[in-house]
Amino acid sequence: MLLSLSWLKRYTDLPDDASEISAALTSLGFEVEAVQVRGTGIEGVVVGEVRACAKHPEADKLSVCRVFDGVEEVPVVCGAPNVAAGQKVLFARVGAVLPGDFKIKKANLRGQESFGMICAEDELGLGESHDGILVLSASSVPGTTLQEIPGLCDTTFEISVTPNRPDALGHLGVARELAARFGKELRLPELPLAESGAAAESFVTMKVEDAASTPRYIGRVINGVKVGPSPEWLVHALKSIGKKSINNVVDCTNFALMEWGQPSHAFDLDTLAGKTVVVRKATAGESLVTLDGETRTLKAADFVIADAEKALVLAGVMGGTVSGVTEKTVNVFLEVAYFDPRAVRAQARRHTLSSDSSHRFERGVDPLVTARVSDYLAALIASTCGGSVATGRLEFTADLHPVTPRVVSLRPARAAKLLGVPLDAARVKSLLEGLEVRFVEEDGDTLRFAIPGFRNDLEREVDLIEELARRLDYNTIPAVLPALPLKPVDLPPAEEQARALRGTLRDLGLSEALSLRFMSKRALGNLNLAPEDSRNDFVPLKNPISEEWELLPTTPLPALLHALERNQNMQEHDVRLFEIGRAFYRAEKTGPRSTGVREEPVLGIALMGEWKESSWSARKQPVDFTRLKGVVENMLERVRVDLEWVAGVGSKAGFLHPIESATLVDPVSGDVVGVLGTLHPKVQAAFGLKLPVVVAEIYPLALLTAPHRPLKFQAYATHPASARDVNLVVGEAMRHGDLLAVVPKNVAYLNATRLNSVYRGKGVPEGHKALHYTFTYRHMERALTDEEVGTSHAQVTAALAAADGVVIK
Amino acid sequence: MDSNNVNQDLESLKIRLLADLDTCDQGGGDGLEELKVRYLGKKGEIYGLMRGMGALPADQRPAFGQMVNTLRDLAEERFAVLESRAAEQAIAAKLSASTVDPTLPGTRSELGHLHPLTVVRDDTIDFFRGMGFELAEAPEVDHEWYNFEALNIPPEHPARDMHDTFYVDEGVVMRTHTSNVQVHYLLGHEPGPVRMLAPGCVYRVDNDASHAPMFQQVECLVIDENISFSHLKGVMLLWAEHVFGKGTKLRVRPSYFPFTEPSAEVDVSCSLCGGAGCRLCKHTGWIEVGGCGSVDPAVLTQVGWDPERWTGFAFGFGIDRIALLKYGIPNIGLLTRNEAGFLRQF
Repeated sequence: MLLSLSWLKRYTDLPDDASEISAALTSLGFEVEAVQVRGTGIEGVVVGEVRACAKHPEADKLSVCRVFDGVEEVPVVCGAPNVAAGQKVLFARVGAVLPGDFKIKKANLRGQESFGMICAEDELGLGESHDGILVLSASSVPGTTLQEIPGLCDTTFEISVTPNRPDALGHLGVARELAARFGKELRLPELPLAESGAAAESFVTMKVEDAASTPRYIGRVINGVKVGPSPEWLVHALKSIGKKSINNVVDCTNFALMEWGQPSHAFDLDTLAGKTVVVRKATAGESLVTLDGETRTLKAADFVIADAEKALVLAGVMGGTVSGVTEKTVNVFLEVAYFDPRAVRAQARRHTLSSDSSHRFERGVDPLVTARVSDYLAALIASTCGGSVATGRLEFTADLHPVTPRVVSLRPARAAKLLGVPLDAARVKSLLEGLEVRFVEEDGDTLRFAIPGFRNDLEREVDLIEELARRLDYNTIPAVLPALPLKPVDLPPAEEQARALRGTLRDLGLSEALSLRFMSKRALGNLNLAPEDSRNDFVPLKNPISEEWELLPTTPLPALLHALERNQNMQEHDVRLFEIGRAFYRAEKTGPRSTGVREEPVLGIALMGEWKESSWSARKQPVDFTRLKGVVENMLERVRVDLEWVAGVGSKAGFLHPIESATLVDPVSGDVVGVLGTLHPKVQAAFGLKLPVVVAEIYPLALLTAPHRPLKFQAYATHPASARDVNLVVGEAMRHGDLLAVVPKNVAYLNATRLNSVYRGKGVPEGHKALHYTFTYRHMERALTDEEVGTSHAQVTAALAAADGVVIK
Repeated sequence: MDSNNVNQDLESLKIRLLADLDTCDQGGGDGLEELKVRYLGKKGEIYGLMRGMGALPADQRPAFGQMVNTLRDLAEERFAVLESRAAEQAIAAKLSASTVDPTLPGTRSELGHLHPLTVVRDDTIDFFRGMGFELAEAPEVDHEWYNFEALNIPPEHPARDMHDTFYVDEGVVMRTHTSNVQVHYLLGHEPGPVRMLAPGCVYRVDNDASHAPMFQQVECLVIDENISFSHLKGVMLLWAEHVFGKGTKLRVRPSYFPFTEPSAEVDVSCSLCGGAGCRLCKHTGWIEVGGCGSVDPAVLTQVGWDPERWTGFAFGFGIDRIALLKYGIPNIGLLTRNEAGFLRQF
């Protein structure tokens, strides 16, 4: 809402310092978003009279004028196309200062001397227009300084008005708040209304058929108006808040709108078919061209103002192109109404249309002021545009429409308790009085107040308590810590686990990512998923921002893969990311407030490029499955969970390499806790990734329910261990896991088996690999003898040697 | 054997020993080990003297033995001095032979990083947990009853304009604030004292330099039998001082949220300029950090709690916004781009 300071000053006395007013507005709950001061930093600009104007002999686009500035007549060269003799203009004398410290000097333009400048709006910071020079009214007196011209220099405040305060959508409402804050009188606008001639009913028939959406509707008739340009005060008032002048009648309705916050509509009475105004439901398929030029096809739910034949106005939202006031209009039907807020809002939304009127009606205009505004506005039109106001109003009032102020009770003790400040009845009454919330009666500890119609947000005791806080100024309420009992609080297990996972992955050198929780069908398609994959059970948004973000994610991987690609394109090749994101799956609706969506956290890991062991030496190797497996193993070690590893996902997780992959399974419940592996080459290509990538997807909830090893001290061996090395050559098909399975479980003293290396190349036959193992034997309480170790190790080597295709070197 | 001969042997051995030690010392310790074997070895000359003692008359043996021992002690002492000198020299030589360049960069491991929002989020959780607030959560996709109606925002209420809402289905929304946790929490508990904290992601149809379609909020809720608006200010001030430093000032402005009353927006004095006015605070001296208010009785009634008995306050703030302010991050979009250059800073 844009407020003009000079407009506010019509209704109350205000401090000279705009920053004081600005601070007051903010502390009252009307946050000031911008303050614009017009006409500051300007000196030496006065009204000038263009006494003569001729083409510049040397330049087509310039004129040479003679300007009288109240003291003398001087030659001035002007480049504006609209300059003409006889105009009153804003003239900057030689020596004048314009905004930006721009000094006007004597000039010579193509051989013509120029003593000053005729100004356009933007040059004076009065507006944006540079269409030409600003032409003042003919009655302006040459020599009058810019600051003395009414309506030109003004300060405006752009305030944000919360939806509960429609009263602040008019200057009067804001002036009322400021008057209360500064302890000044509020001057309500009054205009004497002179009615004459026949009764209004004799000129027009008015019917309200839709009382539910139109509880109050008032018509007035003004005959014999002379439609034309508005008087200067009215043009300036509208212009000060950025509204264009249209014609005097329409300007009057717009003025009342921005004064009282009450919309109204003026019809050309003579264009109304049957001289009839009907407020009715639209018939489906009926159409209407609104003032914005759009043809609106109406729906049965809409309600309109119509004449005997057709819909004229989308009620409460926007007028139509026929029936409005034009230069030809002589007789006016003036509508001032209270439309139901929900009905207007629904109507505006159905047509995705919003206007100054609908904005106010949907928040609720003053239900008690309708008649008063109609009288005031009729008087304003008659005094501004001529014509006479027909006797009486045409009035409709629905049965349930309030005609007297609402009464609300308040217990001062309750207010004091809720706000934490001392308040007694006298103080409460005086604070509310300033807002025209008047004390009515007292009943024991309870006070009753009459609520003015413009404050339809005040319905309950707590609403009045908020008003008391506002009147006191929130900043005067002390900050006090509540005395509450000591209470130790544990983190919920899921949060505790999330911290452990994040911390471990961070310690392992991974960085935590955060992705917007949106996904595209294309990205999902690029994951090469089997049709029955649950990641296809996505939830689409009904109103997505873009195609990239049309779905809720069922996996964090697309976002992580996009992030890898983005990094790759920035020459960041070695990137290790993880993220605890969230997956959303379609699910059965289980009740009336069920969403039909199941959501759970999902941990994604994505590693790309090379894994550097240190910051600058050459030790690095491409990320691969074993690296990722190690990261996941470390993570599980930290949270003390042992899972079953099932090697190779095959086609079950299409984004993974079928062999270089594994599924993590809860050994007790059999639940899948996660999958990990090398990114499938098709997926790699689809996401535009050029370097090796490995990914994991882990389900923290399943991990949380998997059996955890308790943290208990274990006795450990302190005597030296004996190590025995074994070199094996096996075929490529023989896996490490297969060899481990060959070693008997019950070999005495066998403490650890370690794989040292896998070698292919010189000395090893084609299709084979050499594996180097170290077996460690130890006893908890003593050193082992060579013989004991030898016996145990012989069992191991015998078992290995007996296995098919194993050669011990 | 003549005792004179023996004594002469001892004397000349001592002279030779001292001369050899001098020569060795001057020669930088060369041949020290051989020399030591020659004189002090088991088959060395000094022990040789001992062995020749048998030829002496019995009464002279102790005195001679004494002299040999004295000579041996002298020899051992002199050898020890030379040996330690040689050892020092050997170490010095080894040290000076090093080719390690101490100006080389340190061999570091690559550290991982937590996301800045996690840092701020965990810090917030720990701060409030320390004051007895328990963590709660609610779905991010929620029925609009929890997100709106139960919070006193009926359908067609203009306050819905303040929330550009993503819809998933008829009546099903991406939550627009963490205030839906209040509703789930209160419905799930018997009336009684509450200290609750709910961090989480929220969604709005919005995307520019200062608005992201997904961002994180923290919701705080306190309910008890005597909670007032001044308590809200007390707790908010404590939090503001924790985040922005001691001496931070609070400004509370009336605002409107249908689920709190009185409702307020909270500004803190600008941490960069201290309130004098700068680019960060748009020259106002104040930075908006969150919304708050006393719990509206309508909310308590909706969930079956008696608003005459129970009163409380709620406040919410954006974790993203706090992180942007704390670290001076210029654009909210940077938080979710996951670029290595960004992530490795935290």
